[in-house]
Amino acid sequence: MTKVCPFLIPVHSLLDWQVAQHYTLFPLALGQILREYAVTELHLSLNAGKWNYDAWGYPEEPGVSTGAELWVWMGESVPTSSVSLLIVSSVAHGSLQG
Amino acid sequence: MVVYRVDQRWQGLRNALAGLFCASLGHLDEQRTTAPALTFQPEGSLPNFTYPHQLRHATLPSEHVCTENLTPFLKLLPCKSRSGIASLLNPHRLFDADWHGLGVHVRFQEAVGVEVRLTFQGVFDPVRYSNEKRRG
Repeated sequence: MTKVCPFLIPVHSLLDWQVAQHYTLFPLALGQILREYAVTELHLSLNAGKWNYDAWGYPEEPGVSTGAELWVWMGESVPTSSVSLLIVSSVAHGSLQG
Repeated sequence: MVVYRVDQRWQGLRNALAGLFCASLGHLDEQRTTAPALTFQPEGSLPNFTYPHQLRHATLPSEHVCTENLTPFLKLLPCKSRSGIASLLNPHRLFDADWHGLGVHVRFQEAVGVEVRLTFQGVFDPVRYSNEKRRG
């Protein structure tokens, strides 16, 4: 029997998440953000310095641009409720580093 | 029910990630946002539903990466940096590297689920650290 939390609004793009919410290993803070904004795929990289292709060759991970880079794939028109927006703002505040 | 469009969610996501990683990703505004969908093809699968998927991409070269970004990154791990390979992530060593970068990659795979991959890359110069300092 899977427990579904009432205020976690199901999203179209991640249908499986309606039933399966295993946060034993998956980071909860990140999972809640992905769910709230119905993100299907996300890539975030924070890099310092300029990658020296001549000396170091090609990197194992391709995203080596200096600074921050973020790209996401999202499905269009996902209905959510204003209740879940409140929750995500508290999520964001709770995970701020002290 | 309120319907949030892609651009509204993209804005909300930037702010949420900025809070999570203590980075100024909030500055990744509309002026820095593009949608080069052919260049940044999805690594996983896109669920097949009624509405199409859209890409949003933004870069912020002036972002400074430091310990304040590494700590929230380590917090995503179940045991932070206390166990496993993550125990090698010593901030003093990492931020002295010639180059370093962290990455968070999430993809959805049909019949598998949602996969998160946390990456850290660094280019170190062992000669610079040694007492001899004999660099060629």
